Amino acid sequence: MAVDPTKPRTVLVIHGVQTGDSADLNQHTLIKQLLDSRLGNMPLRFTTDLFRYEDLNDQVQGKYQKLVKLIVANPVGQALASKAIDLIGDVVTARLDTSTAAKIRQGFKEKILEIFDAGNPCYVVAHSLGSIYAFDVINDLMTEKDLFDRQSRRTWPVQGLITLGSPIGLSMFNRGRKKVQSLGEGDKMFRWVNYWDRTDPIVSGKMFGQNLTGYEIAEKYRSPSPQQGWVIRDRPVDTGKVWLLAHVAYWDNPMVGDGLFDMVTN
Amino acid sequence: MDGPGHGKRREPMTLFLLILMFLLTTMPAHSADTLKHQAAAALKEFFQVTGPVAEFHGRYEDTPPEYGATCRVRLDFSEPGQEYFTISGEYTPSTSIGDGIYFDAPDDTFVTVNFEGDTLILEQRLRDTFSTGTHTYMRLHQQPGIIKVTIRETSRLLFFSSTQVKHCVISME
Repeated sequence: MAVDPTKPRTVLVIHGVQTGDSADLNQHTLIKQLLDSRLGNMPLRFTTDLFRYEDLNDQVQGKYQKLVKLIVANPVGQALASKAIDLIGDVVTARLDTSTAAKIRQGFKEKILEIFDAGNPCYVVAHSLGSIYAFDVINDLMTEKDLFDRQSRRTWPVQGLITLGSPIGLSMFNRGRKKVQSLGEGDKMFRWVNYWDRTDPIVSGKMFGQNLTGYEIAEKYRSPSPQQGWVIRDRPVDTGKVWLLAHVAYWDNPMVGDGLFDMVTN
Repeated sequence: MDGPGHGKRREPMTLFLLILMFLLTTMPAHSADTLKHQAAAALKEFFQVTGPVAEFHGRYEDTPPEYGATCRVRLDFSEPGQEYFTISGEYTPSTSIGDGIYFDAPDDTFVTVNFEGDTLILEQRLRDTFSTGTHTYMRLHQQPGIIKVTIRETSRLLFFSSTQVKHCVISME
């Protein structure tokens, strides 16, 4: 198994919080449109794919949905509350030490290895809660024998990671995740770029989505050790939206598109 | 009214207010710092560990099956400033140390340390913002041949919250 750099790149998207079920998900087509719009006339062979797990999450959230139906008698209020549970509830209720979470991680890992087996260079774009799954799976893959040899990117099942609106800066996620997996000796660097909107409340945990500055999210994982082998950057973006709308507005942001373009072409 | 005599009478009052202000601002910080040290000392005493790391394997009881059947309690004091006391299970991701008490958090996150006889209670509140954070309550109870570690953890994000309760029973025989 080795990555063949002449093969088309695959941008694998793992979604996060959103409304609806698996059938409603189309973030990979949004990412394709975004990357196409940044390529101009440059020839680049690439495909996009999506790892879906929302149906598994919905099973877990069923009890919360029922509770809301009991509490909110007004049909309009019920619809709003139900959507809000879908959007934010995933983050809070997603206990990451459960069998459901383990199934999601395993499924995502298998999807990455399937792309790796086919020889396509794979880049992961992870949104919201999906960024936590991506963090866990990629770090786990780095511990496996024969993968992520720092001297050869052909052994890397994932060439780079882009996270969008990640809640990894919140204590509920980062207090137990203290560091990234070191790659050891070598000169190749694994790239992780984290994009966040300053008013995105799922990034900051701020109720009213107040503007944030000087906030370290992914960069908390940077280490001065040359053995770490990661390049980690936080990039604030202005999606032009506020509060929860900002959280779902990364998909067509030009800065995100340029970052993705830069990652898949270098 | 503001003659020299009045100024002199005011001096002891000013001094008193300054001392009071100093005490009020430093006392909570001091007591929080004490709680953190008490928590560390109490944990070591409870498990009677002398080394930097202790690990105990147990089984979940009265715990939702989605967390699995087995659990692991780990007490790690090997890295100063990075100590922790956590519970993890068979589905805990390899990147996570688990849920529990983290000593790299600020002193004032430690809100309860209560060690009486065979029961130790620890509480830690990590706050990201006023509406977002994690509250961890841990109860360690020693019975003949076993230790029962209960963790109740509430995570809050904006206007949502979720609580999980797990009981890890460790055999000491």
